[in-house]
Amino acid sequence: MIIKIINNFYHHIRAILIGLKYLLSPGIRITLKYPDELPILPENYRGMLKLNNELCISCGLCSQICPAGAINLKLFEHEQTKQVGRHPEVDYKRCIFCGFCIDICPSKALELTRIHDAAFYVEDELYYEVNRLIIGPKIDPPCMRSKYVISEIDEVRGIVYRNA
Amino acid sequence: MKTSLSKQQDNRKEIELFIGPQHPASGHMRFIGRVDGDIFTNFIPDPGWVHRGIEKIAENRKWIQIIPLVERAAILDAANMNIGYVIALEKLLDIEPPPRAQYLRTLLCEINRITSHLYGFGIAGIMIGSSTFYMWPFADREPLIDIAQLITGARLTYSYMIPGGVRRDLPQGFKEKALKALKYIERRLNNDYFRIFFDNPVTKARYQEVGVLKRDDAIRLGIVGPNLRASNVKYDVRKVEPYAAYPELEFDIAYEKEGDCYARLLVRVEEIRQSIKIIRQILDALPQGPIIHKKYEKLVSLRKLEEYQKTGIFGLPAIFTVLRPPAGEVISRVEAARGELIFHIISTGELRPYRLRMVTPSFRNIVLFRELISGARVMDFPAIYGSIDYFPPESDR
Amino acid sequence: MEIVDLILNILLHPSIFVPLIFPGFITILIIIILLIWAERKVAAKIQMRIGPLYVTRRFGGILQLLADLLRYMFAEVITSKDSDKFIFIASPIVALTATLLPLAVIPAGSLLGIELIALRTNISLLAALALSSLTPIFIIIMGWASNNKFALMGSLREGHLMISYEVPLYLSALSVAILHGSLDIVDIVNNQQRVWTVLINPFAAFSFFISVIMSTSRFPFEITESDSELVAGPYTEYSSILYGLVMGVPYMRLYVFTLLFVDLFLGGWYPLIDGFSSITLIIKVLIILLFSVFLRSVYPRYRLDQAIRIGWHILFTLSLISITLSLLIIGWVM
Repeated sequence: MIIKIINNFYHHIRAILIGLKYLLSPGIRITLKYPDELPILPENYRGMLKLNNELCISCGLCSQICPAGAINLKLFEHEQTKQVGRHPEVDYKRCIFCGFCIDICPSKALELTRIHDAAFYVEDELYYEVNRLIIGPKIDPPCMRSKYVISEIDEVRGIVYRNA
Repeated sequence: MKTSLSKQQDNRKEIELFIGPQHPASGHMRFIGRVDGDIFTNFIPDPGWVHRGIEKIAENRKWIQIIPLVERAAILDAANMNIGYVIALEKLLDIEPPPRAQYLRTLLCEINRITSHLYGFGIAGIMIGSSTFYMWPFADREPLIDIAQLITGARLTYSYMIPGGVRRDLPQGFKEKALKALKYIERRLNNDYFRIFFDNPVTKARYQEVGVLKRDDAIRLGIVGPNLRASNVKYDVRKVEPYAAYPELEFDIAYEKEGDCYARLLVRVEEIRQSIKIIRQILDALPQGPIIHKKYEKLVSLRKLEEYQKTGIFGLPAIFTVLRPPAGEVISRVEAARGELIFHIISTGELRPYRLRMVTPSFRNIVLFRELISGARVMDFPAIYGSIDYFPPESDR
Repeated sequence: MEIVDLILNILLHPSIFVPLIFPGFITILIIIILLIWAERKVAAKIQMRIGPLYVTRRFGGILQLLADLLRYMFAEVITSKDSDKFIFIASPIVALTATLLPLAVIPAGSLLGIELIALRTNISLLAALALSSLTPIFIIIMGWASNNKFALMGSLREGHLMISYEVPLYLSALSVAILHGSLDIVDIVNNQQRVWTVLINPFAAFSFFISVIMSTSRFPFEITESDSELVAGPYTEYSSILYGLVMGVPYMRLYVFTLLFVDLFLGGWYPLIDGFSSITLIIKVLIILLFSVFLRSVYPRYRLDQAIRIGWHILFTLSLISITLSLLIIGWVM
């Protein structure tokens, strides 16, 4: 009984001390101040798509494999080269970013971009026609102070963010 | 279910309490309990609020398109859902992935097991009021999710395993980063978590001798996963019916004897330790070689093959769009983070499966609510719920 | 000029100054705003987060609560159809008033040469304790008037807890009175000029402090409004400014009790005397307050029956021990 009380008391103190330790030790935080700090994602991150229409062979595999049915094919004529082909269009309302389309593309016409957090003012903008898919997604920094950071895994602090 | 409850309305001593689906602790589900004073005399879970019909949708998807679909059952346990389906599909196709792919699959599964258990800890923590133990495990998932992101290119929905292998090889410098993250999580788990939560007398008071599941009951009810092992049953599909690289790896089955809420949490702690051990072994003994079955390696275009040899990113062969496994019926069993996951697939040799049955661990554990909470105090409900690590979307599918 | 003097005289008169400015209403408002901000910041620091930041970014989000209060102010007061509307709306307001009542008899040192006690009686300790026990009654009424099962269960819990914390609270306070031979808090404070009560009778201090934590539903005794099963306990149905009030009540209660705790156990306004002795008092109060809100980030909550058991088994025993100790010390000194 007495031992149990002393043991309990000891563990109460230990819990309070670990709380104090984290309260007083400087700089341990894992939060990314998201709109102010934008992470630079690793290479090969499965973000939004970009189309290289010169490589596209109009095979339509991307549209066939897409699990969400986000890719449609459309007849497209390039303005300068007058090249004609059935090129993919992406509906980001449906896209689940699985990256199957990129992986199956035999001619590497579809590319990954590391952008995934684009926001749109109009619903229709979510539908990327061939023209826009060729240009690829662009995002403006969400706010004036935004700066890019690289996250690194750290043994002591979990994740640290270094300015890029 | 509901009619049987309303028949008991004449009992004026009790009140009927509807917990959820809009309630801070119910999750995506509802509970119907009858309260007598401070005791639940009857407690019935009412699931189905996040039913998405994954099994039915699967009948209308091509075989390869089901990979992202089954992941959605438990998004924070995606790799284990994925491997279960892919193993079943491989049985149908009668192919065996190369050893390196097996190891990479196991690696991702174990990372996912850790993150899933950490998520469960967080929920268990906030349910009994410890806001710090809500934030810490959630924060500490982050390094591990970063590692998984390095392998697969996505944070949660990996879609990493395909029939015959995996989609990508490890990137450069992966091992150092992974070891750092493991060291971090190990230190946090063994020191800080125990000091603030597991050894905290308040936690012990809330968890110990609460919601005791006896060994016989656990077996009789068909409980799976850590909840089963906390009741002193050493049953782990990874040992009983080894898949992927598990037969070659060394690890122990985590188990506890008591069967109470505290034991269920400690089993998960031990499982995280075992997972860390497994990941370390994999990183040390990763075999060289291809990551995809020979059959498919030949089927991609030359340009893709170049990329594969250079960067380790293997494309999907075009045949996957018209994959037609031979007719047959297969069952695969894997140990997901919350327990045994079963896929039962019937193929008629078509583009799409005839039937896909997915028995998720949460689905089998849901009976615990009725068994453990009936007769418990009202304040034990969140403690037991947290300790079961029940995940409604996984159960509802 | 005479009018300015007159207004100043009225304002600085203890019976106005104490309830209105210090340690009364305005001080409480400032302290609550700072305290809730500090609570969130402390929790955030321990939990490796940042906490409130974007309201007055330069000062670390210190005005976050003010922004919240403004939002509460302009939100619609929703009263459910079946609630007892008059009681539902009146009880938070009355609870708030009742919470502030003990301040009338709790001395708070002196500021600018004014003795800060609104009403000096020779039974002020008893009066303070009696007045402080009014608030839980209104919390129970809130839950009843809400006509909500969760609110009702929360009120029942408050009722259960109230019995188990009030007895040790009063007994340990009375053991201080026995020790100092007076029920007048001013006398008790003056007696501690050389040595604080907490050093003479630590049991009383401990059981008083834990009872205070319990009575103001701080962790690990945040049982009344434990959100994982009761949504928000008795406050479930409250919205807008009424919710702002009921949310403030436990904090005000904590402040009042902390003031009493410092007076009884930590030597009140000593070592400073006269002039600005209130400053020492308020510093002590702030430290205790910070510690009590810090506990949120360390503990889960106890179960109801465990809390009641702690109240009767540990705290009640400790308060009896403290009374015995006080009697022994008195006998030995005599």
